[in-house]
Amino acid sequence: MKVVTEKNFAYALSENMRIIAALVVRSAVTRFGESRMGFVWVLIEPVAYVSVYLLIHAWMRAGVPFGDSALLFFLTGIFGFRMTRGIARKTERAIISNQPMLTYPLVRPLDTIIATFLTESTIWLIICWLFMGGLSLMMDRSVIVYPADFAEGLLAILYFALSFATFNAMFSALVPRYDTFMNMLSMPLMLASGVFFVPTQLPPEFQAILWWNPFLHCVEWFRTSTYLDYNALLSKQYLLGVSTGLLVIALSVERIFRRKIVAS
Amino acid sequence: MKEEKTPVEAEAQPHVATGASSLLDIAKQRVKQRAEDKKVVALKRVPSRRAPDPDANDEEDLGARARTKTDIVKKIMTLPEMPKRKRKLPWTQISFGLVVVVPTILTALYFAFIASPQYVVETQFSVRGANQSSLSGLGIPALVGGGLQSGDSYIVADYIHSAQILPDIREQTGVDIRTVYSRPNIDFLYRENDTRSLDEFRDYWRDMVDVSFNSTTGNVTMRVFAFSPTDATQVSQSILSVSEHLVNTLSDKTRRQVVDVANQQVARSEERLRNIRKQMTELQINEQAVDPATVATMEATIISSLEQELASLRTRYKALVDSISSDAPSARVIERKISALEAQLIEQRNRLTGDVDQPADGKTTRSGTDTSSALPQMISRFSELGVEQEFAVKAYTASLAALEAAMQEAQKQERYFAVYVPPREPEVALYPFSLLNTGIVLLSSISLWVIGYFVFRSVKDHAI
Repeated sequence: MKVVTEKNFAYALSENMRIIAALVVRSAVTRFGESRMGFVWVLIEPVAYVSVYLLIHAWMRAGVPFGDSALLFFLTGIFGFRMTRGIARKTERAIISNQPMLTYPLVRPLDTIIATFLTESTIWLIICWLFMGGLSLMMDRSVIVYPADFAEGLLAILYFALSFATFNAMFSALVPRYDTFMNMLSMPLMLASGVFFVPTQLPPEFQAILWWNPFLHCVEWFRTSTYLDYNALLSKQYLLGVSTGLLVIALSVERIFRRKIVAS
Repeated sequence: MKEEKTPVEAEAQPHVATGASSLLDIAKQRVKQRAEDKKVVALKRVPSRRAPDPDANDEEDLGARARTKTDIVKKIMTLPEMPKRKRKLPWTQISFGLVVVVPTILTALYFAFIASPQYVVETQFSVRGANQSSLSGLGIPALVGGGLQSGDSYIVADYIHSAQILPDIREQTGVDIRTVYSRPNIDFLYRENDTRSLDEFRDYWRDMVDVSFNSTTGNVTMRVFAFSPTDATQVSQSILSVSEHLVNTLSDKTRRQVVDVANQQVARSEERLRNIRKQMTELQINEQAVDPATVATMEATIISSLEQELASLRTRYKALVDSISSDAPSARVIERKISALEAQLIEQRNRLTGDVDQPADGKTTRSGTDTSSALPQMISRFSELGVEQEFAVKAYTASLAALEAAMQEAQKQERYFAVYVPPREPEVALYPFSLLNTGIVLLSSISLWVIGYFVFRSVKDHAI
């Protein structure tokens, strides 16, 4: 009797794994399209960002905001932000891009989200590893000074990206124009996330406003592990709390409005 | 059946033991026999109880037997339904209880009965200097990277959170922080071990002391948590005194460095001047002349007087030769005088022009030593030394002025450790926030459970 229920759950779990694995393969294949340029572009994008900022920086003859290397500062900032945003961006479109898959009753909206999230985070972790490794080779010293903190920060970033993406995916399916609204927010968010400056050097009034931006905490968490004495405006509890809250809301919404979400 | 068996045996046994003589012995025998009988009965009962059990009418077995009697169709129909309903419903509630209710109740109990009150002491201070820039009040330096004073306040803020402050407090104020946080009245979650190494203690220290730096005003706010009002104030006081010591040491060090460089400069130029003065004196002693110019004029007057004498002697000689013969003794005397004067004149000229081929008698040298140099050389050495002396004097005055300036600069760079909100002994324990913390635990455990539940449900959705 006991065996029956256990087998049921194990069976469901194995089915789920199978579906997610299949979806991961599918999204990985379709991620870069037919051409090989897709992957190159993924690599070029951060380089382009960093070099544009370095050029502007050199042109303005500004001092390095923090530390001895402007490259390291911008790269950590861009990775802290772009990684979170990039993963969330692709993942929140998972339901829409996997719409044909949802016609199978076995495939649930959450499966597509998890599958896309897995693919995206793998890609971004590889990119991050490439850049950090390259940077440490270039600067001839270890870039990541607190490996435990770094791992923690990466996990937190992934967790936040997943929650944020799930939340956005649910709401963009339910609320019209939600998608465009979020896209409009993208650039201001980047400016307000401390990619180009050290938030603690701002006046306290600005800090109090910026503190509410969870992306800022992602960036700051990322940076804490690359500088020995970075003075971060970071509240780990806030970031984790926001992520958990978003995830709870998103899962509840998914449960309640499931039919509507699948239909949209 | 059992009831019948025991009396039979009990009666059968006494027959064996009836060989006793007295009545008392018989009674004793009977008592013993009865006791043994009871044992036997008990022993017999144990196996006899087990044996009939399978056939006994227990409720469970009644059900089992009843089921075995039912037909196979019914069994198949009922089997999967019964456990499913039994197991599924409690699991939701059990997991909810384990994840949400139990932690929340535990936290609430902890905060209600165990948690020791925490007293907080807030202190505000800043590190100020004489040249406080007026712009820093507007927050503009913060945008460009902060001023100098803020750097000093940063130092103090970082120092308070560093591992160095713990040994410093122990050495300078004699307070071991670990004993403050390992008192027996502190609850088990917050009590520290006072034999713990300072390095490990640092994390705990960072939790108990909050330091925040305001980049606009340059002020530092420090909050110290402790488990009694006196402890909190004492810890704050010792932090303040150690920080003040640090600021003073740093300020002293900068001042000393700045002044030291100037002092060395002054000492060097002084040494140079003294050296030159000494050479000058030596030269003056050697040449027996205070001023080469007067020596020169003296020499010149000697030469001119010699020439004058020579000229007058020559005229006298000529007049004498005109009147009397040159072989006359008076003429000879004059002639000798003239030749002596000429020799003297040549020698004087030599001295003046620096020719070294002086006569070996040495009686005419001024210094009385043969090595004495000629007058031009002496003059050149004098003037050389004079120029050098002039430079040295100038360098010396310049370095003295630099020293003065350095001292003023050092005065400006002096840092004051200004405490404007001194630690005040708290009257009530404000922390911990029991309700808030319990609420946070409740909320987070509910969200955890909800996430877990939904994940479980969504996995279960695939069992179709």
